[in-house]
Amino acid sequence: MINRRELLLSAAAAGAVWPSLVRAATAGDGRKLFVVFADGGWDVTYCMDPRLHHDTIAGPEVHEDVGNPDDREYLASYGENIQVALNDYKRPSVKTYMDKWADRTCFVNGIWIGSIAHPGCRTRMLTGSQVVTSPDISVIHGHTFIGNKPLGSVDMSGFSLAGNLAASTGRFGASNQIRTLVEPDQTVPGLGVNFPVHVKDPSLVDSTVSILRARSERLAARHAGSAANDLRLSDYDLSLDRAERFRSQSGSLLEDLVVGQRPGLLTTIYTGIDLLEADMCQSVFISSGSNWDTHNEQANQHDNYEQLFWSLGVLADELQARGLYENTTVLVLSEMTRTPKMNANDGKDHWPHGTAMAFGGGVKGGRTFGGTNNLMESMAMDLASGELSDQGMLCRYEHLAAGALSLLGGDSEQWFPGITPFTAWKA
Amino acid sequence: MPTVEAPSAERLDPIEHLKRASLALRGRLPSAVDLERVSADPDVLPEIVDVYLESEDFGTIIRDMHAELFLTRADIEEQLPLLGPMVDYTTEQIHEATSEEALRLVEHVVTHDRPYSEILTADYAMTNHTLSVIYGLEYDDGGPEWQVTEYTDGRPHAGVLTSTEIFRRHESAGSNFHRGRANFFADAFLCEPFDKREIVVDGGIDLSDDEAVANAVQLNENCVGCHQAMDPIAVLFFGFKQQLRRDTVNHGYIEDCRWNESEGGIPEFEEYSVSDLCYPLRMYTAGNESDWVDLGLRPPGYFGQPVSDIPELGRMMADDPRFAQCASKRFYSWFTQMGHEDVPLEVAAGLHEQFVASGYDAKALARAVVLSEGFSALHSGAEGAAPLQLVRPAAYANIIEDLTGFHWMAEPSPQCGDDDVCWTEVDLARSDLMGYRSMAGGLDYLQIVRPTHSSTPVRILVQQRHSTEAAGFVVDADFDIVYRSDRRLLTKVDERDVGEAAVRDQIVVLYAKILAMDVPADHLEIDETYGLWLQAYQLSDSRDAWKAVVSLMLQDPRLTHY
Repeated sequence: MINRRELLLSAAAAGAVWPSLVRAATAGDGRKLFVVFADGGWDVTYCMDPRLHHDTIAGPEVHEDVGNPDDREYLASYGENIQVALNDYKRPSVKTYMDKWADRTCFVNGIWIGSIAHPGCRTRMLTGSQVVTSPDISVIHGHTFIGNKPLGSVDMSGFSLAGNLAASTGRFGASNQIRTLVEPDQTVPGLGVNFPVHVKDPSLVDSTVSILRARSERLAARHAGSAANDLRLSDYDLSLDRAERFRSQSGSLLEDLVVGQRPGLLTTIYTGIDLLEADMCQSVFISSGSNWDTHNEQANQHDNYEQLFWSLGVLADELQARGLYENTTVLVLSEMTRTPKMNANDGKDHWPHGTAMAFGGGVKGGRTFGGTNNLMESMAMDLASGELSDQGMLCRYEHLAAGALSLLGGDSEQWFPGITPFTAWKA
Repeated sequence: MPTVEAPSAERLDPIEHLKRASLALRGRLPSAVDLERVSADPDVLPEIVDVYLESEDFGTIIRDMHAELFLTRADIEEQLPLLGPMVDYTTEQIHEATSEEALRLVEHVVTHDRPYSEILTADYAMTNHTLSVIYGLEYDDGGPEWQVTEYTDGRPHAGVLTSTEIFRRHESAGSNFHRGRANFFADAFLCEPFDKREIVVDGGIDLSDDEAVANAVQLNENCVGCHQAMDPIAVLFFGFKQQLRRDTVNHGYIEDCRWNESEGGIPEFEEYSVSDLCYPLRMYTAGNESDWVDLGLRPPGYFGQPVSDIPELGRMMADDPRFAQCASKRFYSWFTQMGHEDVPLEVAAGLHEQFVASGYDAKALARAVVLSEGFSALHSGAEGAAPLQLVRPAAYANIIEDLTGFHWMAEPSPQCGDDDVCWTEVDLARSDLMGYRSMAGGLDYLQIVRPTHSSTPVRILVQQRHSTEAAGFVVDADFDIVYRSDRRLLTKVDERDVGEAAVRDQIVVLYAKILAMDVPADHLEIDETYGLWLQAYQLSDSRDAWKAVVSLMLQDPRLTHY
């Protein structure tokens, strides 16, 4: 009998409309991080920083079909102070999600990013720094809490930034190639009937790894003694060990990943949860799967939000059902937002102020923190309370990143010395 | 050849230095002959380096180096469609042509001993047959695969500053007006990107409002700092289309490559002529060169000096001392696996001086780097000293191919049908859509734009799989060859030779061939390896035992680190 997971995956594979499903939840434990990245820059006026019929800001109402009475934008309030824009015709899953999970969800509006270039904004929002070689918060958190897990963080999107902590990370490949590396009978399409050429007996793998460890020691005897060399040598030893543990423990956890196909959003959600549940990693990083960079097709933001929130609902439900919700924090991030007004091509361009969304364990739900003014510019806030305050400061990307580590239970001072973390979102 | 217990020193020994230089300049291990020569006389190393610099492999390395800069090799991005005259081509042919266009120009400049600055001033472009069909370029079928050509769309030529594929990869959007492209070139060739500076958009400047932006970048003090330098460069690129993607071309064919104006506009492509979107594609429209005037943007210039066109921009940029400084940093960065931001000023300054004195000779610059103290440092403690390096994915594939003859290839669609996408042959070590390049530490050139110069668990898994497949291939192939002298690796044993002495002798040979190490048959290393051989033999047969041994040796960290 087909289960719900298979049903959803097959529906998604068949290009079905994103159904607005909800599901009962149960509690559990085990604190982990799940990052969902909306690549391209979302327009937050469509949801978490709503502006409807505003003098200086073009909100989602610009696409309302006057002939369709169901296509109406409206504001709705949730929790303590959340206000979101809804449209039950174009983005029904936003309402479905908020109705169920708003009390466990928070938004941080008015994050000052200071760039309008995709790579620069991505680096800032994900790493809390301008340095492209810095690790992002998913990687830092995974590295910090890797313990005996095979991996600290898993990247199923290609967007995660590993920096100098790459030895604790795992990239799964654009077409799920990771399975071919841990399952000898899996090959990429077209490799031919003669592959795999050779499959080792498992006992030989262990022996091989033991010998490689010994040879690494001999390499170290020659090259150890300086910080950079020592790091590369220890990265090798750690990676050798982690690779073996990942291979031996991954079992059927990757079975939804079809080699040769790009992983869909639902597949990455389920696989990510499987990996967290099996203690294979501390963090998972996935992509929302949509192109949010709507310079020419602003109306696509509706579909993107619909798919995103439907998927976030599935993610929250599944975490709840498996008892992982209370100890898993989900961060939903985009590198920037979009301009207040439409451009000449029926799109919106880049805007250097951002929003973050969080839900799950440790999150103070039902709240919107910070905010933007009538020009969609970041406003000063108290980083401890999230209240707008002239005596406060702009919540910059480094404050948010430091705050994320703090929210997750890490030591933000270690990674962001001297930076005041944004802590208002901690429950 | 070095002994196993090499003496400790602050510099690499000559053999280690040779290996590092060979992998840096050729992406391959040194030959046995070169190893012998350096072993006999370390002073011949510069001579060997000069030979490397003249090799075809050095041209490939130059392309690989600049690929990290231009980011044109993204195969995970959608490729141009197989439509119209391209219907008989394959997607990898299109990818190869488009991804290498600008890189081939740099390679041409360097390997023909032209001044490196010509990459910004060349009055020509490069094309292969496929690219010539895509863009309607002149091409001599009797000539070399890649040859010099010119665009006939009215564009001026200025090396990679007028490369179609760089402009296709680095798009302009909305009200950006090519500023992102100006930023790209400033970053790539001056090491001074504008977007590193923090942007303060105050006073409600709407970035989607052309007029508001035009005013702000002229008058707003927060904007002027960057825009007074960036915009005069950006306006020079108004002849290039904002973008020309797969879906744009598909749209052109949907419209039958014609636009009947009476049927109305095509909103999302209204600034383009539909015929431009069908092969041969047209990325440049000379008639749009001055469109910036109507937008009230700053006139063309280069950091305060007026500029008339892109070729003049190229000349000024090439003459800018920052160009040579930046090139010096980037070469040192590539060859030492350090971030270019981390190259010490004094190192960069020394190289810069030599580079300029040599007349912008890229080979001389590469030579200076690989013969420098920093490059041959044993330890990374001193400032600018190269750390222990890891073989890049392409170099690892070269090593495997050279040693075993194994090419890790897939044929996803051996026969192309009606699809407008068709990958027929994919190099798994050097690609990402189905391959392992970025998983093994390389770039995917789209999302992953920096290499990973450290081991990762997935990189280890990739090497395990790659080495296991290669070992399976070469052992079967070798044992199918009767004469041992004709074999690649197993030149001392036949399948039936399972005596310990014979096996040990063969392992000694493998140490020499794969690791360039001279190890006696009774050494601990040989004991370990023989132990693995014996274990595998007891589980199966001698063929599988040799596969286990060869696989082990292809994963040896002393092979993958240098």
